[in-house]
Amino acid sequence: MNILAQGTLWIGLITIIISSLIYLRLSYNRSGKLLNYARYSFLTFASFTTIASAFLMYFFLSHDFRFEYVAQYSSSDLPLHYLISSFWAGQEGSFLLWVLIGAWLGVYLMYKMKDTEPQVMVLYNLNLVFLSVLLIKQSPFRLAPQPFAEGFGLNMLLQDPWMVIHPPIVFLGYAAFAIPYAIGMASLWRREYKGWISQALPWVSFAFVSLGAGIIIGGVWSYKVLGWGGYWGWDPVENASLLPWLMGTGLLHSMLLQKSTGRLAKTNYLLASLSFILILYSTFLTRSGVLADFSVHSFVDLGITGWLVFFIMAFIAITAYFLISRSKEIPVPKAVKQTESSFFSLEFGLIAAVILLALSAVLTGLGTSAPLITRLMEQASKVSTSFYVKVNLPIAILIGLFLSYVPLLKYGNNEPSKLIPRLIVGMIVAVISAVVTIMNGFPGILVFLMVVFAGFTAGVNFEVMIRMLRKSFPASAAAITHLGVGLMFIGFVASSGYDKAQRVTLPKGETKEVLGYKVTFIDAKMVKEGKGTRLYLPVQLEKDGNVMTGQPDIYVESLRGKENNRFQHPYIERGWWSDVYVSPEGFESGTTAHAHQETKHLTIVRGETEQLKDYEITFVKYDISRMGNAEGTISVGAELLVSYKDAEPVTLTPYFSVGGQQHPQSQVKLPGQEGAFLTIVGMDATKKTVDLHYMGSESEAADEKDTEKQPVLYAEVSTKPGMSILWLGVTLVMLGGMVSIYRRSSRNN
Amino acid sequence: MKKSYIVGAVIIAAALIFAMFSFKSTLTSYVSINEALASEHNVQVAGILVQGSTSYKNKLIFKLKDEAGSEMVVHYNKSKPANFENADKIVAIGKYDKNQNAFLANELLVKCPSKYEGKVSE
Repeated sequence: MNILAQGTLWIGLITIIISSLIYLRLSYNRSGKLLNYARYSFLTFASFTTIASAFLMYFFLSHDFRFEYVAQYSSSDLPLHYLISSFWAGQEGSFLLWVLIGAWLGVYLMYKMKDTEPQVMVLYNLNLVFLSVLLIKQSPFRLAPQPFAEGFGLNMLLQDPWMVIHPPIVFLGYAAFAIPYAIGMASLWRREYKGWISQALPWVSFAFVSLGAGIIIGGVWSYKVLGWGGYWGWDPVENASLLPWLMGTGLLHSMLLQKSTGRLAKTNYLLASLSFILILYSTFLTRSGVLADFSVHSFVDLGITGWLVFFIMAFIAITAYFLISRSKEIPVPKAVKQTESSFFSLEFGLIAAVILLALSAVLTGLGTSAPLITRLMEQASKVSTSFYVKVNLPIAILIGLFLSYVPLLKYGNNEPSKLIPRLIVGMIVAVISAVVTIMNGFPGILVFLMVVFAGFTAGVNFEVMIRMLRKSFPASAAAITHLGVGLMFIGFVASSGYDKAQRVTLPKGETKEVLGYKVTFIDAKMVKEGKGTRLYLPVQLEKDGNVMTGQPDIYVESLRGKENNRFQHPYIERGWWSDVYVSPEGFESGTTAHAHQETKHLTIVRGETEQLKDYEITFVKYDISRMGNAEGTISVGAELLVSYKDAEPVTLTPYFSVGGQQHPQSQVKLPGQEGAFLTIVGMDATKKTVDLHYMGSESEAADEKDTEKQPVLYAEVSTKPGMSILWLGVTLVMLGGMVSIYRRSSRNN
Repeated sequence: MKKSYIVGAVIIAAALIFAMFSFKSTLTSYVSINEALASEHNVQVAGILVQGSTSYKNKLIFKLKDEAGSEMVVHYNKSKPANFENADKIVAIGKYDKNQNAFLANELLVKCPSKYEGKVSE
């Protein structure tokens, strides 16, 4: 079965190489017959990649734990939707997903291109060849040395509906960025410098939307699942998707400018290449292990670092060759040479957008690459997240400034006085934003400017949007997006600059006042779930007579040989103005719960006596009489003399077993109390010591804690204003992007 | 066109200079526990969690052990990150405080076995 599955990957690699070679020949000498072979090879590749994916999905659904990948990322108790998403929970499967999406985008692209098909497909295929090589190097069909009886399960963090759809959407974006690159390079190759822009433009919009949506979904997930209280943390993994997206957004603007005026013809080739190369660079950063110590995500080097570096170099070489060899031939329209464009024109605004977006990508990329750069000079270091905020804040201010008036301009000369009436809506929103900001506390001049211009942007673009909607829906794409940008910026500032958090200790039933809310911890409820226990900790919030309840929870997963792993899920009460976020941080159960048996660790040297609660324990000697009585097992006992309060001492001999089958460490009952036990957890023959684990009786715990019997919840309550504005903003950005895909592709046809 | 070139060049140059300064000032170097105890700057230290050393009451307190085997107590004033207990490695970013004899972390990076993980420790 695994040979069959692995075989599909090989056939995929071989057919995509064949397809590339035929297309390469066709690039120089076009003939109808060969074209069909190239297409058939590509279709075979797409089919076999699909079969490979079907195999992997089948192995997941049938719990075939002979496969290491299946065993690592799933278990037989997973519900169907998480079983499906286990497919892309790890590196190998997500590469397969990337190739699969790339293959089917390629099929569409192949039939969409006309004369340019051979060259475009050579370049597009090249990226699929490389990914297919990686896939074979890192195959999801590797067999485990021994079949596992049960899988390790899917990480609890990934068990969320958003994480089911996040990776496919991100990889749709990753795969899509290869298309404008291929079309651009093909245009240089063929020395046909016109026409590629309108061919590539819908794809750039498409990549903008899919990667953007992927980033946003990642943010939603981290806001609601991780309980870190944030949607964005400037982590390398997050930045990895942001870099190509920013560069791609710059490309979108420069392409629009070239389409209308012929300007920036060379820049467009460069930006199309950079967006694509940044996809590869980001993959390198997140998959090669180079940032292992600098990210919250674990990056294990899977031995593909060398390959990734080679691929990046190869694409840089190809790009450089075409750009340099054609650079002088790329025609610049006469009009561009002669006229000086005014600061007060749409051209200028678009150029500014390109510069600012590219700059943001470069500077964010610089920060993300800091460990690599500093490693060359001295100790590897990373930049703190304040770096990203510092460098992107001025950029955000300028973006807000330009978006406050540029959308009103046309190409060429504009009459400034005509604009003033159309700025009124923007001014009103800007003033409101300023007043609200000052009322909540002046945040410093830079942040203040960001809010004011963001408000201005929202107002102006709202007015433009209404005007455009009256004319035609597709024409409103840019205004919808830019309105979204304004709202998004306001949301960024409100949620990260004006959030408040307070820790609170909540005994059951008691009401405490936190950040203007009356908070009551109702009661805890424990439910067995999967490999662990979910502790529901319902909480009631009250403000101005409104009562809200929600259930934050802590999931405790038992793991062999390690402390229990805990996952906290916050309770988020969403509001128009502000979200309230209750994050459970710790919990102490009351006296009735089993979990609160008192436990203690104790180490005793041979011959000595130690006091433990009401017990006196003397470690008399080791008992080696049972040594080697079972196959491969070494069992050593410790003879202990134990006395409870003033009672007669008794001899107890717990045993400690190592090796062989996993033996339960023998536990001995302690005299005097019900439910008190002693267990050996370790011994050190050279130091002549024994480590004991004491578990007290429940009644004993009850006696001690008589005064505070109530369960206690430790929580952090925080308010996060502006989250609804933020979500609305990013949704509009995406909606505008979708309208633009429609607009650009329908014109194309 | 020339005017915009000049403006563009000025903006880019200014941004790069500004970025360089920010870059330098926000760098935190990656050091061992012994170096961290001696340092007065913000640093980051990678290590493993000493099993059984975690306590939580309005503040997360745990022991971190680095490759050289040195240990230090870490205080962290925010929510305990998910996957904390079964992390392969924990990176604490912050500063050592002599008075409290503890490393006050303002950021914890937990290398969780998430989607980029490849090894299963058995």
